[in-house]
Amino acid sequence: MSVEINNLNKTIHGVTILSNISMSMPSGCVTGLAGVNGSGKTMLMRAVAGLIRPNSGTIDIDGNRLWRDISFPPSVGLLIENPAFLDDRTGLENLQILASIKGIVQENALRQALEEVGLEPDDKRKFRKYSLGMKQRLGIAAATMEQPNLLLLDEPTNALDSDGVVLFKHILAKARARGATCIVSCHDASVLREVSDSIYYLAEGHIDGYEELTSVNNLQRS
Amino acid sequence: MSRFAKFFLLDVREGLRRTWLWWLLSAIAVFFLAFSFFWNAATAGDENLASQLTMGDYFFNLVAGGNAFNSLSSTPFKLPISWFVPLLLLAYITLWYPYRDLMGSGKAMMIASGSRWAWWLAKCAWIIVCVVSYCLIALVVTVVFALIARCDKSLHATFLAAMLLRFQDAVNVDLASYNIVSFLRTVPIGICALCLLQLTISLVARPLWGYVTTVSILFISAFIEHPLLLGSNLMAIRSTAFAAHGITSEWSLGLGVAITLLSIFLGGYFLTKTDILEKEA
Repeated sequence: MSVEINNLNKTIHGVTILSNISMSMPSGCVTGLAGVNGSGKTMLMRAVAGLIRPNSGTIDIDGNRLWRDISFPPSVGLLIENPAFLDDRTGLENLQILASIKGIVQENALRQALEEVGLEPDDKRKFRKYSLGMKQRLGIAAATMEQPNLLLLDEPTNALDSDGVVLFKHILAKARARGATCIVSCHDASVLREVSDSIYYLAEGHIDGYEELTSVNNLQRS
Repeated sequence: MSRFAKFFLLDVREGLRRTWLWWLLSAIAVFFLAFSFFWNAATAGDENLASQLTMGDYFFNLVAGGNAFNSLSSTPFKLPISWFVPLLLLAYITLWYPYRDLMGSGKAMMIASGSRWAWWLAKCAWIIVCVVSYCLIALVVTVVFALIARCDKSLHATFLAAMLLRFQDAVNVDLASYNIVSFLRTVPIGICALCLLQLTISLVARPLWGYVTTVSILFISAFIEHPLLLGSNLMAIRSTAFAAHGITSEWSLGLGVAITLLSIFLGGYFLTKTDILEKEA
């Protein structure tokens, strides 16, 4: 699934959030977004997810224009800011509810998604009893359980311990290998450089730099 | 199963899980209002008038409403608490779930479904189910209380009820010839309109403003009698069932349906055009 962003602009309450953003994100690549707080990373993810409407510019997903041809990307997994789940349900129950909307994955896939992020599928604890790290892991499991073609992960390593970060890198590598388009933002520059094929640097809502890392990472992966 | 049906079933289940205590409280509140009415009748005069009440009187107590403010009247204005409280309670029950769902897990489900309209219509349907359930709970609790109180099973409201509620001056038709059912059938659609309007305003502004709007409509309706005010249409005392120049049930039904449809359409249209961002309540 390819994502093409052209001259995207977004203003909220008179404040420019995104300014003249143009990007191209091909299938099977991890695109990193770097920048300080408030640079527009999360808003850009929201825009690609179809949650915010651009004032001008376009977002095309496999040739379909968001807000014109489609309301949301057709196959997307996302983790944007804090993972939101039903407080009084277990991790597995939350995934079952979310998966029931599309109905394309069976329970064993949900269990596998939980195991991949290091959570116990039969854990009877409710979501509200989860630690921050467990909530983040569940968020990553929810984003990846249906093996989406577009993966949007905003600060996925937040609250993760070192084991969690390793698991995340493994999951992202799998998604990349099966051809998913992955967009990741991360405050940890070393993690972002390690997992990304290219990085866009954002500052005050506009693109401040671009770095191609494919050759470096391919060398490391090999 | 369609996306709408999936959302709707989920909303019924999750909505009930989050609000069941409020439903219990509502049933208790309706029971208390019926008991209060019974007690008034039992202690109003030398003889026990409670035994003369009909089932229609108990319903009348719930939906009667009150007279509008009139500076020329010798009777002081009284806020119709037994009409006001159940409506505010239902408005509160339906206030939070849709908004919190949109700000929380519902957002991911909406994206998964690919449709904002499916999410919105399911929430509207959930509100309608809540209103109908609430009316049924009020109906059942009132009937059970009335049966326990061994009242007459007639569905006609009597002059005694009007007297107990201090409406004897306002009621200028023969109550005995009017069946309260003719008014009761307009109530659910009127409340649906009120709650869906609140839902739309909650979406456009915030739940707090949605609730303020509901309280304002009901409060203004208590003071002013006007056929365009939803509250006036929800008061039996201002309907043709009880007042010669009152609001007809056809008008009330028409207004209720119009506001219901308008709220559903405008709310859905707004949702398809707006940003979904976290806002404080």
